[in-house]
This record gives sequence, C-alpha cells and structure tokens, in this order.
Amino acid sequence: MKNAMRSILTMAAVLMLSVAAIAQTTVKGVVVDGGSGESLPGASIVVPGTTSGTVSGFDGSFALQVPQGASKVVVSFVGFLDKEIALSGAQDLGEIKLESDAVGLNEVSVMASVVTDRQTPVAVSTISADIIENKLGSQEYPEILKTTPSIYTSKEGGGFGDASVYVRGFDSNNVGVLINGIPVNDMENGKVYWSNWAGLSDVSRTMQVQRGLGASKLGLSSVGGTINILTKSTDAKKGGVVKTGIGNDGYRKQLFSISTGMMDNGWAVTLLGSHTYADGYIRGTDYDAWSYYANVSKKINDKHTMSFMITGAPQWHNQRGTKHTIEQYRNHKHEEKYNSDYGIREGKVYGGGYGYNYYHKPQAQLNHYWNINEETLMTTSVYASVGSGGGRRVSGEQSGWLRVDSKTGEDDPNILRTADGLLDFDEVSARNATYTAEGSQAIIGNSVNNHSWIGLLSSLTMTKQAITYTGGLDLRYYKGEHYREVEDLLGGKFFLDDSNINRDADTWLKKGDKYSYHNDGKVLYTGLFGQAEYAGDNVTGFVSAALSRKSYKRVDYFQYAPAEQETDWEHFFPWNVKAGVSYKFNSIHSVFGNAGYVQRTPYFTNVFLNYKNDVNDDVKYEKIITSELGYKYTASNFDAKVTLYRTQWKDRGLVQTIGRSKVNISGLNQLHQGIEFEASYKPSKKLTIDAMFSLGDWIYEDDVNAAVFNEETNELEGEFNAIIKDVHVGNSAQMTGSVSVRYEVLPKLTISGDYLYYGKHYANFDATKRGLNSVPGDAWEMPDVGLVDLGFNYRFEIAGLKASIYGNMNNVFDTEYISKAQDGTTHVSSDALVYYGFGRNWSTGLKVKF
Amino acid sequence: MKKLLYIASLFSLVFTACDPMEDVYEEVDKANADKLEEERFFSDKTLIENGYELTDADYALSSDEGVQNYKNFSKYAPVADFLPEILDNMKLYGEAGVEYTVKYKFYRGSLSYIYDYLDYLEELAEMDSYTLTTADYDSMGTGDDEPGKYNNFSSSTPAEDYLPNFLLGKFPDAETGDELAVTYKYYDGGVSEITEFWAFDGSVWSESDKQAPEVPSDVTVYELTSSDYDSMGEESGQPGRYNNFSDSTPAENYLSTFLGQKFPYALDGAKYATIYKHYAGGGVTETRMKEYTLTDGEWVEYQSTIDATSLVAYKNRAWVFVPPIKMIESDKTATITYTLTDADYELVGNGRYSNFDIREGKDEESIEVRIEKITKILKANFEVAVGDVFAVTYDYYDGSNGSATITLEAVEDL
Repeated sequence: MKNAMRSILTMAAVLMLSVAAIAQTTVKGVVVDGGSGESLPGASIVVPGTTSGTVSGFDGSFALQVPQGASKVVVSFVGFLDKEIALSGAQDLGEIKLESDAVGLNEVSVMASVVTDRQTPVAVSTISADIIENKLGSQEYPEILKTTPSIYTSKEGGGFGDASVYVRGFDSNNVGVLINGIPVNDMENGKVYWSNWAGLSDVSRTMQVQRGLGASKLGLSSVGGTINILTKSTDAKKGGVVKTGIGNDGYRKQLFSISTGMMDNGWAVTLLGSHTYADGYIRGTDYDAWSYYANVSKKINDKHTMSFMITGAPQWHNQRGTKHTIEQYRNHKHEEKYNSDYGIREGKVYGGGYGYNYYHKPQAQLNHYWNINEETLMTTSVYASVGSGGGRRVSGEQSGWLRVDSKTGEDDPNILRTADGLLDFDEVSARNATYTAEGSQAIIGNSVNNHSWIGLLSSLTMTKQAITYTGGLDLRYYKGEHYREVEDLLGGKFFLDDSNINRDADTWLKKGDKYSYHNDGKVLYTGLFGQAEYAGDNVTGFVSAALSRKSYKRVDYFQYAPAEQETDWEHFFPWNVKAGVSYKFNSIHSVFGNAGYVQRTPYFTNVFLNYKNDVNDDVKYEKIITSELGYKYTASNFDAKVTLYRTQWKDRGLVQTIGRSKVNISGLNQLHQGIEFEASYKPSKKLTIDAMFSLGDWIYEDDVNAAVFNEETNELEGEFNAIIKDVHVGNSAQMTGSVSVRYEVLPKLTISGDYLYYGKHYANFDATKRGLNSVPGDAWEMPDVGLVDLGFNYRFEIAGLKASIYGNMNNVFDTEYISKAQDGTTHVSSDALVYYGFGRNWSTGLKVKF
Repeated sequence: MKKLLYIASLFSLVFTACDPMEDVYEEVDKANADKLEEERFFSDKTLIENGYELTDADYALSSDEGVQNYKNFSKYAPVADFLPEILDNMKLYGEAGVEYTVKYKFYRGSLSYIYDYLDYLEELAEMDSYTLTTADYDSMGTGDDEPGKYNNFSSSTPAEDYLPNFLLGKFPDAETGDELAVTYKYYDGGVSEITEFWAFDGSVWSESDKQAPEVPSDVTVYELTSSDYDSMGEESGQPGRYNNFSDSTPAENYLSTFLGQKFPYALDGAKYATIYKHYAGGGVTETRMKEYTLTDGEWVEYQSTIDATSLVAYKNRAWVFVPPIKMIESDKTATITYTLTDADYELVGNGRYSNFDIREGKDEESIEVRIEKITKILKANFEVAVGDVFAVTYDYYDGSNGSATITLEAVEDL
C-alpha cells in the first residue's frame, strides 16, 4: 500500500514538470457562467480555422496568444452555448458570460441546492456531463463517482442496476439522493435501488456529491452525504444525437434524442430514448433495459417558465444474489463469474430466487419557475412517481430443490441441478407435476414492491443585499405495496398457502395470486425548511433548519381480519439544523467549516416490528452529529481541497432475526471520521491531472445489549450482547485514492487513464453473530487493490455533423480482487462470503450530433 | 510523448507488480489444506448417525480370535478393548462430542450352579432312601420322651440320638461307604418331614456332610409337581398328559407363562430355578433345570450370550470406549476448573444465547438437566476419569444474565 501511494505521488511530481508556450498577440479574459456568475474552469477558447487555442484555468481566466490578423475567438464549454467574440488586436475581454444550453437549468439547480463550488462551505465533488458521457462506458451508473473521495461503489452481484454506492462508509439508506431536487430515497427504509434508475446515465447532465450534511435545505436523511443528480432539461438549441455502442459480453446500446430548441413561440421539446442489453459479464446476468425521457418547456414570458419532464427506465435483469466463499469460486468452473442463482427452463436462461428482477418507475414533474423580480425566485415542483416491479423468490414445501443457502454459499442438500451445474427447473417441473393433490412443491414467486408517490416542493429565494433567504414547503404522500405473487407454478397445477387468514388455505393459487404476505406502508410527510445565506467579499456563511412531521401507517391484508388491518398513524417529528462559514484569505487560500445536528425518524421496519402491526414502543430517534473543516487552494492551473470530518451516529436502530427470534437492537453508535483530499492540476491546455485520496476511520463505538423476543409469541426470550466495540464498519473501503490523467495526444484525440486504489476495506458483519462467546476480533480486511481504467475520445466531422468515437476499458490489467465481503465466524479470508470485482471490461461507440 | 511513456511505465510498474489475491489464496489454501485432508480422510467413512448394532459380519473385523469365532465379547475379550477397533475398521465416524450407543453380543457364561444342582439331583436319584414307619418309631421305645410315643422325633428326642442304632439294626448288611437318604417326621409345634443323608463307615452310621449345592441367595429353587404339569393342560400333546415336557412340548414354551400364573405376586427381578422333567424319548426321562428372571413383568430365561450396550465416542479420528462414568455434585476440592465456551453451549443446543435458561418452565430450570448437559460437555472436552473433580463455570439467564460455578465429581456409573 505504502509503495502504491508513493508511486502515485512520484507520478504526480513527474507530470508537473513542464509547460510550453509560444509568444504572439495576447488576448485575456475570464469565462463565467452567465446564470450564476461562477467562473468556468476548462472552457475552451480557440481561434476558428487555426490550431491556436487554450482552456480557462480554475479561476476561469485565460490568456491566449493569437496569430496576427485573427478576427475572432470562439469560447465553448460543455453544457453551454458557444460564444463568438470579435477581436481587435491585443485586448482584455473581461468577463465572458456563457449561457446555458439548457432551458431552466439555473432554476432547477437552485431548487436542487446544487452547490457552486467556491461559495458554499460544504465538501463537494461535481461530475460534469462531459465526464459522465466519456468515462462511464458500460459501467453501472453510480460508478462514475468512484474517483471522488470517500466514495465506494461496487457492482455487488454484478446484475444490471444492482450497484451500490457508499459515502463516507454509509449505505444508500443514509445517502440522500435527489433527482432534479426531488428526494427519491424510499420513504419506508431510506434505500435507493439504482436499478429503478438505470436509464439515468443517459439523461444526466451533472451529478454532484455533497459529502456530510450537504447543502440541501430539505429534511433529508443524509448521514453520509447527498447525491444530487440533474437531468438534462430542454436543449436551448435545435438538434439531436444518435449514439450506438458495443462492448464485451454482448453489450449493445442505442440512443436517440431530438430537440426542437427554444422556438419563437416560447416552447421547447426534447425527447430521448435508449435501449441497452447484454449477456452480462457474470454468468446468468443478461438484461434488457430501456429508458425514455421527455421534456416540454414553455417560456411564458420573462418571469414565468413552465417545464414538464417525465423519465423512466423499464428493465428486467437476471441477477446474482448469493455470495460464496473464495474456495467455492475457485472450485467452480466459472470461477469468479460463478452464479449459483440461475438455471435453465425449457432451454432458456431462467433466474431463480434472488436471480431475477424487474422494475419500472416513471417519474414525472411539472416545474414552475417564477422570477418575481431580480432578487426573488420562486420554484415549485409538483411530482409523481409510480413504481412497479419486484424480484424472484423460491417458495414451497420443497423450495430446497432450488435453494442456495445464503449463509454458507452452499447448495441446499436437496437442490436439483443439471449436469452443467445449473438450477434444473425442468426437473422441478416434472416433479411438481406428480403432486396432483398437494399442488406445486416449489414455485417461483415475485417479491413485489410497488409504490406510488406524489409530492410538492416549493421554495422561495430572495436576495437582500448580501443575504439570500430561502424558505419552502415539502409535502409528500407515499404508499408502498408489498406482497408476494405466484409467478411460475413450475409444472404444477396450483399452489397452496395458508398465510392469509381471510382466505381458505385450500384455495388453489394460480399465477398472479398473492401469497405469503401482503401489506402496505403509508407515509405522510410535511416539511418546512428555511435558510439564510450570507455572501460577503471574503466571508460567506449559512444557517439552515428543517422541521417535519413524518407519519407511518401499516395496513396488513393477510394477518388480520378486515376490521383490524390498519394501524393508526404513528407520528414522528424529525428536525435538523446546520450552519457553515467560509473565509477567503485571498484569491488563493480559503477555509471553511460546518456543523449540524440531525434527529432522524427510525425506519418503518423499526417502528412496526416483526412484519406485523406491532408498534415498537421503544423506538428511538436516531441522532447524527457531524462537523467538517476544510481548506481550499485555488490557482489558475492548480486547485486543491482538504477536508476533515467527524460524523457521530447515535442510537441507530437495527432489527435482526436470530433463528426464530427477533432482536430489536437499538443504541448502535457509529463514529465515522476521516480526511479527504482532492486536487486538480493543469500543466498545459492538453493535460489535466486529477488526484484524490481519502482515509477514514469508521468504527462501532460500543458493545450493544438488546432484548430478544420470540417471533411468534412476542415473549421476551433473553438478552443478546453484540461485542462490536472498535470493530470496523464494512462494505466500503475506508481508504481510497485515485489519479486521473487526460491528455490530448493529437488534436481532437483525447486519451484518459485512471488509477484507483482501495484499502482498509472490511467485510460487513452481522451483529447477531458477535455474541459473548463468539470469536472476537475485527472483521476480515480484504486485500488492497489497485485498478486501471483507460479511455479515449476522438472528435471529427462527417458530412458536416459533429461526431465522436469513444472507448473505455475498465480494469485494464484484469486484476482479480474482492469487491464485497460478508464476514465469517472466525473473521478470516477462508470463511468470508464474497463477490469478486469485475475483470477487464470494454465498450466503444459512435456518437453523431445533428 | 516521453512523459506518456514515463506514465505508462510507472503505471505498469505499480499495477502489474501487485496481485491483490496472492496472499489471500495462500491463506485460503492453508485453511483448506486441513479441510481437504479431513475431507479425504472422511471420504470413505460413514457417519454412525444414531448409534449402531454390530452384525455377525462385524465381529470378523476384530483382531481377537475369540471375538471373530464366537461373534461376541466376553470377559476374555473385553468390550472396552475390542469394540473401538471394530468401529474403526468398519470406517464409521461420529460427530465430535457426541456419545453413541453401540449394541453388541456379550458372552457372560452359563450358570454353574444349575449343573451342580442337577448332578446333585442325579446323585440323589441314585441313592437308596428310607422313610421311617410307625413301627420304626415304636421300635425306638414308646414311653414318655421316646420317639414311639408320638411316632416322630423332636427336640427332646433328636434323630441323631436314635438313628445310628436304628440304622445298624435295620440294615445289617450295609457296606462301608453306603449312603442313605433318611426321611423322618419331626415335631416342632407341628409335624414336618425332614430328609437327611446318612453314611456308613464300616462300623458306625453318621449324618453325612453331603449338602445340596449352593444356590445363589436370590434364586428360589422350585420343582414342578404333577399338578403343575396338569395345569398346563392334560390333553394329548400337553405337558399334563404325562407330567413332563418333551421335544414336542418344550419347557421354554410353557415355563414363562406357568411362572407368571404360579407366582403372580413375584417382584420384578425375582429369580426362580425351575426343575422339571423332560421326556427324551426311548423311555428315558431326564431332570432338567432353567433359571428364569421376572423382567418387566415377564419371566425371561437366562441366556449365556446377551445383548449389551456401551457408549463410544469419536475423538481424534478414532473411536474410544466411554467408561460408564457419571458426574455428581460434590464438595471436594476441584482438580480442574473450566468455563463453558460458545462451542460448548452449541454442543448441548444452547448455542443461540450461549447460556442456560434457568427460568421457571425453561429447559435448564432443574439442576439435573444442567448437570446432564455439563457432563456431556466435559466428556467431550476431557478424558474424564473416575475421581476427577471439576469446577465448572456456566452462564445462565434468569431474567438477567449471570454466571455460576458448580463442582462435579466423576464417579463410576453402575
């Protein structure tokens, strides 16, 4: 590890050596965002028809030697309309304001609390549309964040959309995700399922990670951070894009988009559609995913703009849901691509339990931007999303025919596999057919989670002298519907299930019939938020607070008679306050600090225990105390940030099952602290080097004592002690580092390389397996790993149309490594259950703009 | 371009040099080497599951010829020495910490007293006997305090005072070594018949020292009477017909039932040595004898080879005999102190909480159950020998967590 880091530093030093320059007439200027006034680093300034050109520095400034007689320069930057400026010899062009190429982007940025890097005192990393387009390739959407500090992304089992992202060691439950300012974390359990949003990569414009409490004014449950995604809005310019791509393991992608541009009548329409499919790198993980996006904007007059957007990404994917021991992979012919969860049904690949997922969750929003006057902006968004889908499970008396034990990675002793080692659905069908009186003994069911969600988000922003006041309202109603339905009787005539007390247990269940459980979770949310932000010459600061009422209701159609199915509303009043300040010593050095306190509502499953209408009277608010301290260095060709953070998460609740007992663990205390470093260096206009390093110390602070209840009788059975003090938090590498180099080797040909390093990566553990007499010790630490990605982009013109060819290769050296692990009883490599990271993957494609 | 080469070479130096999985694979290999060796060892072995009963073929795997030939164990080939090797040779294995019961044949020998007794009966049968008549008593005098007065002997007219002379007179031709069973009446508040053995040494008759062979004190000797045979049926083909058993009416078909009816109030464990007649054919009737024990309400004939069980355990890949040892609470000073581990609780089904639930109505409420479980744990962990005293500390749950120490002594389990 030490060696690797030393190498990174050496390399950075080598790269800082030389910059070349030629002398002619000089044109100077500063490129800024016309909407926000923020300087724009990396904008290109060229003299048309010549090779002379440059890019703006981190402060937006540039100085270009132009040949004698040059009459104009063109300033351009991804996401902005090109600007042509006439020249008259050497001159200072002053501020060059570029206008956004999207309608309403500034307004939506305000609504989403997208941070302008140099003002708001929070730790933030922004991924531009350019990076998303050039570097993502065939990777999972969240993986674009992997070169930002304190982020760990993993493909998990490797199914399409199954990736996870951790921020400062916190999982998606604790990372607020906003799409165009609208919170999308599940209202019951806080989770974000990226497969619901698989199409987002095609429509994203920027993705911003605000680590820590972030800048969002909403009452978000973001302990680790906030991921703020802005989709494309309506293109201001007429035109379109056609894109086609291919990659390994049958990867194919087609994309088409078209825009009317802002028409004279004030209307603008953008439409996009894409189709992605592949066989999957991991065995049995083929998929088929579509995405669509439509945006209609109408600029009513200078003050009012309306924008309607709808996006969705219907998909199905076969997935892998079971981890195995290292030895199990090594002994299997498919090695690290081994997937125990799929089989063959009538000659086709067929995902079994935890081996198939389908979902479609369209989200629509109607935004109204009202520029009341120069100082006052009101944005209102009414939105709705309707999700439907689920994942396969195996059920029935003989579910062992198709079951793999997720605790050991071993096949059930009764499992039926073909000679090739695949789940033998045909044999199961043959056997099911013989149970004419009892019905199918093993079936495929869908564990369905549908939801409908409507919300209103309105905020008013007013600037009075140096202070900007923001106040707003956040209303949401959510209903999640959870049940299991018969999907495939696997050769039998019917299925029997006695879980529904309101239905005769002898009822013959057919495809589509619900069984096992059926309940609704309803959430009602009313939030108020306010913020005051001061922006002086050298000092900026903010104070914000949010207060909400979150109410839960559970409806259970199976376990209760009709009159008793619904619980009362359980009300909670979470709140948060945060404040931050930054001070600019001069144009180069600045410091910032922030702190916050969050009192968070416990999750739905912690409020209603045992998957029943049992209200947990002991449920506690979870509390988060966090603070950050940062330093920024900004020069024209070098930019660096260092952040120290400390997040204390108290009274975290966890409900776990041990055997037939339920353990209601509350009072888990976690401490996440660390240091983050980010730097960008631009020694020449052709070369950019970005580096990142983060080191965390994320541990459980105390041992925990919990009461154990019998799952059926709810009788107190005993006490459980989890000895977890000083055990490291798992699932996310606590040390990450990266160096990214982009170099324009030839005019219009850019190549890029990324080196990523992961260390201090601990296996996730189950607190219930760490009792008084268990083997003590820290969780298993996975081996450190270094990975290399390469990419290229070549721009050219065909028939007067702008086109580009791009390509990406991830894990170039095909390095074998563990990307995720579940700790075993003795906390060593041989008893951990793991997923391997992907080996070498590539994709390439052609994009034509018209 | 040069810089690029620099970068490329640096990259390749850093990245190709390290294979993150190398050390892990070594670790896993090491962990698996033991496991593989174990798998290989157990690959041709069968789990004994719920104990085992040796079949005739199994005895052939013994190194002891007697065991091979007779297909049983005995005091000459003790179970403790010769049972484990058979199980090993059978390629059976057991789970750690579990004691298995193995059933086998044990030769305990035949009952020698029965042969002695039958010899004795034969001798009796061959011996002359004489029963005193009224005239005989009268010949000894009919006055007061003389036997002829009441025609019996008594404490004031003991047989030994009269019989020597009487017998000399009665059997004048007696030769040296002659024996005679003499039956006379004896008054002792009531009159009973007594048979004594008298012997002639050439000049004098004296009571011989011949006695009925010793019969174990818990055995009652009973000789079947004619009416006993009759009670078993008097038809042709039934014992009462000729008042004997035969090959076609074997004693073992009747005696168990007969004893049940004859001694309906006998206590379990009672032993009767039954003497009976057996018609062997050709006019020969033999006297035979069988011992029966009332076992669980049924009269069971004594067998020289019996079914027996012993405990065995599988330790260090070999079977060991588990001596019949039990643990009892003791106030002796402990020789070994021990605290139960997670694995121990797991062994006795308490792995979930790793303690004993001693609340009312729960599994380990009674101390007996706790001792039973701790005994199992100690036997799994130690070579427990008679005389060992353990101080064992265990965790319990009685509403809250606590721990206690119990002192247990290993004693022979008879």
